[in-house]
Amino acid sequence: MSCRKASYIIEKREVSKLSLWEKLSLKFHLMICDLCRRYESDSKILGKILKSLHKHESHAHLSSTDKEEMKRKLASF
Amino acid sequence: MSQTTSHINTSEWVDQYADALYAFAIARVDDADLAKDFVQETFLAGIKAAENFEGKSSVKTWLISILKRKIIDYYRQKEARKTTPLSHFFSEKGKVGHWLPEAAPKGNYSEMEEALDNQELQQAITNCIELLPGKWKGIVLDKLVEEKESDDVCKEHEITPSNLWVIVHRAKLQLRECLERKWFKA
Repeated sequence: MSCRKASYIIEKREVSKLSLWEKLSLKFHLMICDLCRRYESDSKILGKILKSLHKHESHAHLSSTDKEEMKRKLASF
Repeated sequence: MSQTTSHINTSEWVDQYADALYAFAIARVDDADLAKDFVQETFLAGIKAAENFEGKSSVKTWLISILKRKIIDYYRQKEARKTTPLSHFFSEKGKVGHWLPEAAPKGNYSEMEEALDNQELQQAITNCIELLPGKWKGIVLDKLVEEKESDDVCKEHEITPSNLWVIVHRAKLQLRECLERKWFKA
């Protein structure tokens, strides 16, 4: 398995169930790939950081200027 | 008004239409220089395409339609540029699909784990989310920040589960790199 695929399965696991084959091949890849183990570790912490935004409501959303800009762009076409 | 397209008087065009085109552009891009460039490009495209002008609409309407196209393309490209290609992270030659040295994860996020409540970290990740393509932002907020059910996220954003996996993967790759850059540079 390539690291590209392994990182994809690592992320898929966060939002969905994996097939047995995916589980096994990921496990095997992580045994032999230091960089993907690092990715897995970083990604888990990144996930926690993202979730922590939810607790800090004031930072959890897009800025209102962003939203106004989006509305304006949508309305003008 | 009879408009001849074979011999265009370009300075007449500028006198007659530049203001209207500029007003149209500035209302949509909110940047004077950019709007000027759009007007210039529209005139150029208009001159090149003049023989295709069928006179069914006024020259002004026709030029505006060219300008509109250009502005749509501009936003489309701007949005596309927010997507980092997979070839930025993974090699396409030699060991295909392996981490490229510059993009390889360093595994140094563990020190951020203790800073979850840190305002600067919150700000940094928020900025990174805002750099994502528009479509991804909403999905990241719903799925990864608010932890909504995957089925609901798919329904709401009209995507399939495999679209969701791909977007989450691509977004996380970009966010991981973005946050690393912002956090460890300081």
